[in-house]
Amino acid sequence: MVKLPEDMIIEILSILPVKSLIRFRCVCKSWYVEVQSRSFISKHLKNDHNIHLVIPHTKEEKDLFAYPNLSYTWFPDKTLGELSLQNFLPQIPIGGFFRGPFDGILCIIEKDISLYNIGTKELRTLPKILHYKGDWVGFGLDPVSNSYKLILVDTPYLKTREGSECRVSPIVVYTLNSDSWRNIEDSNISYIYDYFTGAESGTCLNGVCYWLSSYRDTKEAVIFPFHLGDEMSREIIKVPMQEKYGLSLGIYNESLSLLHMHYVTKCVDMWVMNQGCWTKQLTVGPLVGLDVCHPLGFWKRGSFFLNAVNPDKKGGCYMGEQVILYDPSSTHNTKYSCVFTGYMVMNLLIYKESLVNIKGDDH
Amino acid sequence: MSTAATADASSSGDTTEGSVRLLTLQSEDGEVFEVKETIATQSVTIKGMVDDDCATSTIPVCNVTGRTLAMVIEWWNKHEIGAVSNEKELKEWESQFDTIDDKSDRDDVYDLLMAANYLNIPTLLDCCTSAVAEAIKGKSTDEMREFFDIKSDFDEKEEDALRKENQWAFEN
Repeated sequence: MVKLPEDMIIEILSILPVKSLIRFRCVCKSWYVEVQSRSFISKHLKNDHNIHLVIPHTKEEKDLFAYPNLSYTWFPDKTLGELSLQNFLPQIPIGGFFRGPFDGILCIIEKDISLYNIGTKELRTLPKILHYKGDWVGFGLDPVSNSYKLILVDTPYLKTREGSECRVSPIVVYTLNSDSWRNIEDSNISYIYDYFTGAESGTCLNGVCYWLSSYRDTKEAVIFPFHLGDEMSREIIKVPMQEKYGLSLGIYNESLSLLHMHYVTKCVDMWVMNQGCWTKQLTVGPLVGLDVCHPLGFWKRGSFFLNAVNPDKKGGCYMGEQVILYDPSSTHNTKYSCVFTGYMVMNLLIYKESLVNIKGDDH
Repeated sequence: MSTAATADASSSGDTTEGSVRLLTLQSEDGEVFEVKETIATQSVTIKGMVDDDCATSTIPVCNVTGRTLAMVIEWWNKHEIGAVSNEKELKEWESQFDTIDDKSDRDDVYDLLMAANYLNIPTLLDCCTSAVAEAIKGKSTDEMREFFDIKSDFDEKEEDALRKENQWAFEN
């Protein structure tokens, strides 16, 4: 019988679901140590296995404005071809409102703020801070301190409208290693006007969290970054388009990327940022026959989701939206397929299973 | 599984078929295969040799048997860049790994895995690791030990304690 070398076995283990790995830690001591090592956790996080799509929607048209009754349909299979729809919410132990997931971890905001690793079922309640709504939330690994950090931003737009001044500062950062909060004074936030629906959970990449936003004065779309290392925004990032509609921010090929839908030409552009410059990677379309509303985000290997009006209209009535998966590299005649139909599909969550330890036992 | 050499055997290493250069690969056990360069360069290792002009004579593929090399070449042919690959056929070929609990199938996958690693063929490596991962993800710890031929070095008490910590992971 062929026996696999250790590094091949680790290669295989690194693409397994979290539940299997929690179980397989008990196989032997070396596996137990390996599965909890930082290098393994990071390797496990980097591949595109064990990624799930979660679509928030309402069940029926009459629930249109029933935000709390939003259902979360979970595609538990790694391939969207084999649908077995499940409700995602039972995965979360406590109610309340959440942002994320970021690296498999949700930030749950209720009376307390908690972090929850969906895969390992670990829950950590954070020390109390003054009330934050968490208009923007980001969570990512700071490569400088090698600690995960949570960042909450209350955008000035909402602050002004409600006139509440219960906070010292609109930005707070929580550091997992030290289990402590810090208030941040960052003048750049005052140039920012509002936020985008579906963009409340920041995109975190290489120690920086990014949110799609727009300038207060010109209303031009921009990206607000926050560097987890030095805990500041440094510089607001301009985007290559003027209008702030039809945009979605995400990660493609390890780079910050934007999807941009042109409503007139019915084409979608994919922009990628490399060394501070935006490059148009790809234009797809015109998407004839699709009543596309806006891009929803990236999936695997350069494919992405769009939402479109359900064409199956009964007597011209609103019949909800479709989630369309567009795969530019597909060899089929039509490069897109509908993966889901429901009401009030405004955004979607991509959940990547992770072993990231939020208990902090190893620190 | 059939042998998948693409052309008649020829003594020279830089035979051409039309404008496509052929490479000669020799397995560990001496079997010789002629493969189109455009196909064989799916291996990062072989591509490196071609780029460095080191692929003019027979390329020895140590650690890989003729039987396995034939499987690798079959994989290459099905994944040739630019070839309109029939996705259904490809899925069928990949599905032969669905039953790797069978010992001989498992050995085939292991051999392919080692070859893919040695020749540095990322797509084949992905396919094989995925096949094994798929086959083992639902296994119990005991089944895993048997599958990978591993002896537990936990004593019973330690293992029980670990299980209790995350009981949910041991339930269906």
